[in-house]
Amino acid sequence: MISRLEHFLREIACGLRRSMGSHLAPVVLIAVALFIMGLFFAATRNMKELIHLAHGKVGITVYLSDGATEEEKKALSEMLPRLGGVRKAAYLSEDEALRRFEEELGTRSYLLEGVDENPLPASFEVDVYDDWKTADRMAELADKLRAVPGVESVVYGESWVGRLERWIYFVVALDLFLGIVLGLSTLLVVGNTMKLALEGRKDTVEVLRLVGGSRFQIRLPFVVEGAIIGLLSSTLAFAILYRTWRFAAARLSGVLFLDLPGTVLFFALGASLGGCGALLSINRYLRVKRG
Amino acid sequence: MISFRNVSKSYGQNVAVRDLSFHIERGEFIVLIGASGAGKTTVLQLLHHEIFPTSGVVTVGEYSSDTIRTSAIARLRRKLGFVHQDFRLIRDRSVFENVAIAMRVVGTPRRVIGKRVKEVLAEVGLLRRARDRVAELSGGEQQRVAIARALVNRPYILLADEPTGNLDPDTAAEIYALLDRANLGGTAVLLATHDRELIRRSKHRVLKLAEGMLVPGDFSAGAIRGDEGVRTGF
Repeated sequence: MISRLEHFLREIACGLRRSMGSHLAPVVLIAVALFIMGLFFAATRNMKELIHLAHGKVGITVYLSDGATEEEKKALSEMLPRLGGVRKAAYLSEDEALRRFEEELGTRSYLLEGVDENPLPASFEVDVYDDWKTADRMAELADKLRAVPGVESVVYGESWVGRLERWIYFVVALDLFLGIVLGLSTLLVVGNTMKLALEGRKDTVEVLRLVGGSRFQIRLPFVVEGAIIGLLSSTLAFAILYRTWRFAAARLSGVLFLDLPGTVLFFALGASLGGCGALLSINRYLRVKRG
Repeated sequence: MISFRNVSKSYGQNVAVRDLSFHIERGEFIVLIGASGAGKTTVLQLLHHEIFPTSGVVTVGEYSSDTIRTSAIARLRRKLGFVHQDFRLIRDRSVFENVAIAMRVVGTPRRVIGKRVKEVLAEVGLLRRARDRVAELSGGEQQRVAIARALVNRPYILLADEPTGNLDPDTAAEIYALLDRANLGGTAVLLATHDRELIRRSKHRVLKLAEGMLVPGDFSAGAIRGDEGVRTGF
């Protein structure tokens, strides 16, 4: 067992030492492919954040009629949390609505100086769960609320909730498509690069086959070597990506870099692509054709 | 120990060996002769299970080509030694490493490897060059390393495919002597060659292949002496 482990470690060390110089080009090539993949990851994260922000703005405002009684207000405030899809609901009295409006007007609050009576109605601001922020579900919820006694009108941005939904579908589908295309292209680049990198090691594979090395024994050192190359490449790509982000963040506010799971995924992707590329290229030499 | 039963191997329309049947007993030395393209290398590759028969069965010890699982091929190869014309060594590793790799693959403890590799290097006369890189050795020395590697795990049989093809006559004679000595130690040897000088010196059973088929008759050195041009077909 120890001898076999020693064999693996020795083969990995020999491979890396032997190919140190020739691995430089593959490391750079794979780093370029991973850098593009990293840009995609970062773009996806920023896009998700934008969607999250846009979703955050989606909500329902339930305006109460002037004649709404205290009982009706109480009944509505008790009913709202029990409605499916409602995360929370906050009551906004006429006075609070006016105060907020004045705040929003800021230096132009003088516009309200001639207004003697508060024209703003009381309302409930309803926050709904993200999966309810679709055109159909929001319309269903609004219809239910319109039928409640004491409700004057219900507003939820009918015109743009549907557009936002279609835009999100499109962006998510585009992101998925680009992810698959980029993933496959990266695998292809890594696979071919590893093939070239291991071309000079055919003799080792040949000798290991000759002396009865099992497929596992032959593959493992190469796969580990490929994973190490992949890790080196992802480190290089990550450094370039970080510099690029710093450059962009200095010019555009709010641009996000990869988060921790994204970073872990990025390095794991580099290592596994390197390992898979090595496996694909080594398998060419291990095929057994019967008959 | 080793048998070919009605073995044929073809590549598309080209037949490499045709209906081949023969046995090799434990400790036997067989010289396989024939012109280029006669099927000698195919026979060795079939034994090594690098290729499989189109029909018929190749048996090596407990392994049969018709039933062997892919995972068992490696185990079979550990019981065979193979020497090629082009040596097949890892050129940037030391002589010791090139021989030791065959023992590491089977999981032999390091202490045993050290002892056995030195022993076998002494047998082929390369103990003093154990630390040298293979690339620094002459062709004859490289072939000795290949023989040492083939013998280090004490195989059933040593397969040698034109092992002297790249060597001068004197070095070829030395390599042949090493194979002979391995055989005296109990290892069966199957030597594929078209080296006339080797065949002339050989005292062993000779099988002749022509167009993938065994040619009937006695081709041993004693039988062909004085009539070699006609009998060996060279």
